[in-house]
Amino acid sequence: MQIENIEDISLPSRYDNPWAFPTVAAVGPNGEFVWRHFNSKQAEIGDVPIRSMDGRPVLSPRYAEAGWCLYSDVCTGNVRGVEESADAWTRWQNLIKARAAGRHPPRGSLGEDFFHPEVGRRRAAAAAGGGAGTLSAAELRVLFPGVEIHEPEHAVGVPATVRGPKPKLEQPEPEKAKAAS
Amino acid sequence: MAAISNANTAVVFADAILTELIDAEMRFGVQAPFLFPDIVMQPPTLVHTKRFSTNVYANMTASAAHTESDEVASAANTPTAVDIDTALYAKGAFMSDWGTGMNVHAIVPGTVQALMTACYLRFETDVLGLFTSITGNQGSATTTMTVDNFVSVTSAFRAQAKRSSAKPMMVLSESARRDLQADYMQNGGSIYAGAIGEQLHNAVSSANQGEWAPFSNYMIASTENVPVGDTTGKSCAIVHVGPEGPALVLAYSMDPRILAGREENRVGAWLVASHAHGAGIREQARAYRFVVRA
Repeated sequence: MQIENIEDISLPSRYDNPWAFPTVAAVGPNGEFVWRHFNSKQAEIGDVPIRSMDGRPVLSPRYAEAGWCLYSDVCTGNVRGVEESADAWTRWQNLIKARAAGRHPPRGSLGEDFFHPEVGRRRAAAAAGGGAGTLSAAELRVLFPGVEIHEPEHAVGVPATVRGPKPKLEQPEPEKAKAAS
Repeated sequence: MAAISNANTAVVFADAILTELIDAEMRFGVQAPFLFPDIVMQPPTLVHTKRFSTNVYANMTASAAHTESDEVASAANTPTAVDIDTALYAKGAFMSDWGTGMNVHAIVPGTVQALMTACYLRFETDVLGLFTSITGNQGSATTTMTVDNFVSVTSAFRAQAKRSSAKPMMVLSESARRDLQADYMQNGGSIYAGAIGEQLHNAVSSANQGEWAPFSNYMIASTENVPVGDTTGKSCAIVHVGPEGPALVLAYSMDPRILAGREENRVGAWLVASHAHGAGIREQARAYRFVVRA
């Protein structure tokens, strides 16, 4: 048998490791966390938050308007009202590197604090009924002067990315909102 | 075995025994069955374009009260285009004449099958890989797939308010199927006593991966090829299928094909499989991702 004369037949049972491709993540207004493995051949893959423009990952405009942010922007302080976290970014990059190398963390070993605090904040806000599209306490005070506004348990309102259009209602800075209350 | 000799040891025969018999049947390693044909829309092959574009129209607001003498205001009915680009892929194997001729296996048809399977694996990888881009989602790497979780997930999917005459398809990770089966078996007294228990038993007790079975009006199958979810979990998904409103699309601009080409200066022939395709999410509201523990 001369099986060595047959070249380049990969085992069909082997599943491609998509993490070996560049991986880009985005955070939604309700704390959704999606990511896309960029096979360089695919420019568009339909109705998705992250797409490729000339090989550069960008947010789809529709999603940017809805409050989605690239995770890189969240971690590097590129999102209004969100503090940067180099540690969160490093954690995400290290996870990508480990998975690209075929390694993976054991089941349930990484908690919610793996992500940038903004992800948890958005999830908590959504769970408390204050997700995408809700008015912040400061905005409510402007709209309904004189009415007692009950502070929600979690801060609501979603900051817009620097790349996205400005929201129609001006988003107050967190410090100002705090001072106003 | 000792050498054979005659009484006078005049002639001695060395051992002449074959030490192995190679099974002539050609076998391939095991592989998770492909689910992609069941969960995507596959439009006719694109001609003279590499982009599949599908339009989604926004709903109009309800019709307004009208006075007969007035002119009716015109409402715009503008679609949003969703584009799915296709790209070229290929996989080849060089078959030397000598090696192929000497092989005890039917190596040429076997390689054709392996190459075609590699193409299907690309489709499967790309289609299931879309799960990480589905925006509607719940669960985490510590979520256990139970009957309660099934209700929670399907309720959230249902809340996305899309109509379809076809049963939605639910793709589970093997871990999700395991936990769902464990849940009803542990609570067998209460769940299994009813008709729902028997249905669930049938749905998640299939012997093999990739078998579809109905439960609670969802078609359920499991595969280990679903992508990662959260940090250490698995991404499962529910998608709409059927001509009315499929969630996922797999478009081809060149159908999968295998062609052979001789290369005489290497004394053999290439078998090359190639195809051009793109997999994409047609409408987010028709898909829902739920993350469970691995």
